[in-house]
Amino acid sequence: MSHTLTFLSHLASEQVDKIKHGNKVVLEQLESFRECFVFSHLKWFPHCNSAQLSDAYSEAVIIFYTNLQSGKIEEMSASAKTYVFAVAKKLLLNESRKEARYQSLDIEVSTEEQEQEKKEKLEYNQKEQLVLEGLKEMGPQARQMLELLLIKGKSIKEVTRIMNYSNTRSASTAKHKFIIKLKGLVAKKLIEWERNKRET
Amino acid sequence: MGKEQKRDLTEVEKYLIEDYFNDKLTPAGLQKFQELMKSEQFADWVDKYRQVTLWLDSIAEQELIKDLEFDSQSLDESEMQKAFANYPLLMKKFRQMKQERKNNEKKK
Repeated sequence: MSHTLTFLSHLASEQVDKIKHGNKVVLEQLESFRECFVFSHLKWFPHCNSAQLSDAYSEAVIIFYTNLQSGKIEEMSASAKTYVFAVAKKLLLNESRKEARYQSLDIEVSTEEQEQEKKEKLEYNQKEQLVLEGLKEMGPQARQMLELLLIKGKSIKEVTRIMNYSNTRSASTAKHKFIIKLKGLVAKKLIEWERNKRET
Repeated sequence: MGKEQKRDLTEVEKYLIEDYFNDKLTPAGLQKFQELMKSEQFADWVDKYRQVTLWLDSIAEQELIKDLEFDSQSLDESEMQKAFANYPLLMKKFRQMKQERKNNEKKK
């Protein structure tokens, strides 16, 4: 497995070319990760069943493959697996948002739609606030990187340059570590928020 | 049964939730987690943590997911069929996506 991951870890542009010219190794590797995706994401999307997760995974592989073929992706800063998992997760998130909207439309069209939008906006603001508060408690290097990525929308390539990392791989490793730390802080903030809500 | 009184999560519970989502729970930890999930309040915490971290992941991965559009126009269908021929799930999904695209174009 380790050589597989090494192979998939960072696709250089010549490897992207290989896939474009019909080499199916990456497609085979991605297919072998399907079960892993489904199994590990059931907990993240408890309202979905295995078939729905597998379907989103297929769609993500197709998007990845067709984007490579059409030249939308010329170079990648993450592994094919990371890319496909991220796309599949985003598709599932979009789907759950659509479903929430659809359910509300069943009851009453305009007001329910507006209410849903308001609720989404409020949830978004709360999430944003939680992340911002979590960021304040991080070390300077972690905070700088996450602000560049999450707030200023910089790519990992740009962050590598701005923060003088030797390559995108080491910047990606640091990013992964910092995100895990931020999730822990966000969990802590959630607890504080709930406590404050109760006390007021 | 009466409604649970609101309380804070303990440190142990907080780590149980984080470890659950990071696939780090031992069998004993998982058993404890499942036991706690019977409490409505704990399940609510788990769901909140799930939603916020999913959202956080989606912003952290935004450069990978910026282009979700399936560009069926620029593709040679026979090439795609050749590529996905050995993968029935991909083939089925590919046909479905093509069909959806066609239906949407007809509606316009």
